[in-house]
Amino acid sequence: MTGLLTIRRRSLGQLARSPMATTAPVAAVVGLGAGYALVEGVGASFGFGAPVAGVPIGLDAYRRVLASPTFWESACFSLWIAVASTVLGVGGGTMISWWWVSRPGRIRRIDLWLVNLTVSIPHVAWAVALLALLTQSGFVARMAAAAGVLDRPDQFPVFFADSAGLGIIAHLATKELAFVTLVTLPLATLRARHAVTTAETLGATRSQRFRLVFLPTIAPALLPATAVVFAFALGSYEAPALLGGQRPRTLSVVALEYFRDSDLTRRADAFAVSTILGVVVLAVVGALWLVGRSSVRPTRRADR
Amino acid sequence: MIRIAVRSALGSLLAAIVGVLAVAVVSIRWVFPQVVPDEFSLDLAARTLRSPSTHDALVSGTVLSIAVTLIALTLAWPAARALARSSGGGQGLVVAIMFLPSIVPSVGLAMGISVGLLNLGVDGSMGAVILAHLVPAVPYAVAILTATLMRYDHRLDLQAATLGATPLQVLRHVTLPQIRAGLVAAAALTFVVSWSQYLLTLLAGSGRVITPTMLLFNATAGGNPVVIATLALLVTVPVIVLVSFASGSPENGSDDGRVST
Amino acid sequence: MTPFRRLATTLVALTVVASACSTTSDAVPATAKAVDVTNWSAVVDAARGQTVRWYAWGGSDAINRFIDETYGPELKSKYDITLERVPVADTVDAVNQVLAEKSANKDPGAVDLIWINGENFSSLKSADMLATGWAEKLPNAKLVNWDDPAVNKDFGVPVDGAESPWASAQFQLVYDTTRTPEADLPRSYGQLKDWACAHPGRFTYIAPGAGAFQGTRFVKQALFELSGGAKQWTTFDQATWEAQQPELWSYFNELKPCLWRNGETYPKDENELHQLFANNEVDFTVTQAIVGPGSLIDEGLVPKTAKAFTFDANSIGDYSYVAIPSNAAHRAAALVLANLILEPSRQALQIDPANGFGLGYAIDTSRVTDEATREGLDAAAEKRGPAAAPIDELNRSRVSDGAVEYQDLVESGWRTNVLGG
Repeated sequence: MTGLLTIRRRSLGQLARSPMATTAPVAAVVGLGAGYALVEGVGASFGFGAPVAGVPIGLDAYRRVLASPTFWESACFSLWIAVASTVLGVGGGTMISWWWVSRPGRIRRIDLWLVNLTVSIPHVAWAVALLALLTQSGFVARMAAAAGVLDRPDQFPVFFADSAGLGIIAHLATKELAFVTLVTLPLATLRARHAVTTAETLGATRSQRFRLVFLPTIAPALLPATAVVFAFALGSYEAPALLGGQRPRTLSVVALEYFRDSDLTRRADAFAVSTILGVVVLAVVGALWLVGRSSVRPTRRADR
Repeated sequence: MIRIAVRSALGSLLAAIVGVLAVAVVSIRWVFPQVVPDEFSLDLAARTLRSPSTHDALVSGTVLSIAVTLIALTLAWPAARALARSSGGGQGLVVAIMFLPSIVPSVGLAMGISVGLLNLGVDGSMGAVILAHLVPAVPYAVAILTATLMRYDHRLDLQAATLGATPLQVLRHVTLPQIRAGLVAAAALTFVVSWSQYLLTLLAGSGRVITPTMLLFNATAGGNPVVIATLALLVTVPVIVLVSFASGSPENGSDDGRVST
Repeated sequence: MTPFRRLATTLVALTVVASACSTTSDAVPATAKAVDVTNWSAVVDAARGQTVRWYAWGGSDAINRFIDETYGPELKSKYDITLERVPVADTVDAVNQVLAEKSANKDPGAVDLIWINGENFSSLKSADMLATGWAEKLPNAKLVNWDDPAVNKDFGVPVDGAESPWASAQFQLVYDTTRTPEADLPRSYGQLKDWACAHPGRFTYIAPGAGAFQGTRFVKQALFELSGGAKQWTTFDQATWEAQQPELWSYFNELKPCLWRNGETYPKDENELHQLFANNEVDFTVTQAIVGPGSLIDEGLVPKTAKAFTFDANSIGDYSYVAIPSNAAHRAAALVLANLILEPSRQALQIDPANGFGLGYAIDTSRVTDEATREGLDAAAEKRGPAAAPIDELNRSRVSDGAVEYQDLVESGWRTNVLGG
């Protein structure tokens, strides 16, 4: 099939059916949408296109944001939550994929259904349910009270509006775990299983099979998934908004607050915060890409 | 063994999540230390479900998500077909573009898109929200459809064409029946992506387009636990139904690892 | 072009067209805006067939329902006006909407009427985005005591006919009669601190902040008590604030370790506090309703044994209003609604806790000329229910809110000195 960038003389009809033309509308919608948002966001953080007068072009927004007394607290909080939930989510998802393929037999529909559900249930509903379960007077606490383990709500551990963001991490990690499982499963079942079984017959230990065969084989799916998961955890709004307290707050919550301030000059501050988040994500994506280049086994183009 | 453990863990988590909401819906004053509610009542739940604002949100949300699904699938189809067949360099570029919305932090994405729509002058309308939802929905649709089509042998199409079928006939009688399960999965999951959006709907719609997910979020900021639970189930039950439709398809890796020839 | 791409292009084109259309679909000819309030029959005629978009705080389902049921059917049947209640998480969202429209020169705008008072009223008024001079010319305005400074001044800002009163409210605390005997109730902030430290972890308050005015009010009342009175705070004076605030913050910082979660986190709104109270995590919650926690009990939000009370002094009482933005698309309908709100039959409904609202009257019942109507209003006021605080307790402790400038100072000061400290 002809490559995208080869321009030969051909009929208009052929051109219209070329991969470039058929993928163009899709790329336009998504690329324009996300690309515009990116460019607009970064630009606005420097003062371009401000909705009201009085926003100078330059680093003012960044200065204001970084000077805020709670900025570093929020930044650390956001980073901690993102890293912790990504580690748990990616680690857990990888393990589940591994367990599911290191035994022969089909993956049952019910397992897929459960994983799909966990991914698909909207974040707002998931957070609401976690609150009902895990607040100090929530369902689990009441079961503990009924079992005689505690008799007052304040004896139950604190998950929400706490300085460690435990509830937020639990929310994000459970959803991300399912997501990573889902994303790595096709590669795991299609390629890794075969390779792992082969390695087993060749005498590889379980640990060797996991580290040297399984992980590199699912890396093409796992690495992008890790990037997506991290980006999501860092930029997520619903979970910290519903499960977090006043202090510390995540940067995503702070950004939206600046955005919705009646003082429209604060919009630049909002975009400054989101640009900072974007830069962090970029750094992590870059790191993951480097990891990918060094460890991914090249896939054969013939198998399709 | 492990599989059963994982299944039980996930299963119990989901059962707890849905269960605690369901019990909250049918009870009143279900407070600490009651494990089983002392008082049951359907009044609040019924009132919430009957209220016009709930109906309006349900209608808006459904129309919105159906529109997003239809448009996303229509846009995704030719792209997915091209991606499934081609092996050229351009494929990487398109995939990278598809990837972009998932990498941009969602707060920044939502804020940027809403400003874009504001500059176009269309913010606050259903159309604006549809456009906004397409940004996360289309990559999802492309991904699922590409996976579906990669398993489909398009030589069947060519054969039908050589036998004299028009493109439309090929589509209707050859392609679609084969990939129907995958198409259903793509539609169901794309619908769920749109249905679950909160921030995009809020900002692109300037708070004027209300979906059940938005109602739920607003209800948490000061609402009755029974009402919150009712709305949470209202948001979640359609998702459970749709995911059940989608989960049966082979694209989710339920085969036993045979490498396709 | 393949059939798919034709379909795709059409769908996207339709979407863009639809979105363009829907933003202009409620453009109203400019002449409809210029409405003369004094010619009431003309106002009613102009309003016929209009839809009025009322932006109101949506955080209470009971109040949402009350609005829909009390005004919606009347508006439709008597005036052929459709009521569209637009819930906002916080009134400041409606304010921001109008301000954003101002900077985008959007006229007509999306907002017809706002449930508003205090700081929000002040920001819109100073931005010149409110229609003025109409509130005292409504037919039912004669039932309102516009001479009362509590009515004609909102947080110290003169109303100037830019908003019409809807209901009256007063800050009260709520306790559970089965948990706390009445004799043990704290009756001042000083006694509150003693009680809280004798019962660690059993008290908390709403974090002062935008939209959490009950938290701000709670802190302001402490300011009144510590400074010896509320009167001096009705006009703004920076020096007084500077002199008084250290004592205020040290009070709350001394209180902090005795609070729920050691004062490290606070409920962000009243429903969260109600939940803590109902779930036996704390022993007090708050309400603004004149009927006390009556509606809250009916909604199942607090135990049936809950009851309201106030301290001996310094309980802020005020009116909330409805205002019309100057760029409202349906001014006539908004005026009709504002007038309907003051109708005695509607006012009588708002005080009954069973209807879900439970706030007090905005009209002065002594100005109601019809004997039977007046008796109906008085009888309704009697029905406040057993959970309400005694009327003399309410009257004895009522004070006016302070000047609007203190709102921000209290909120940011608390965040810096108490939450952060």
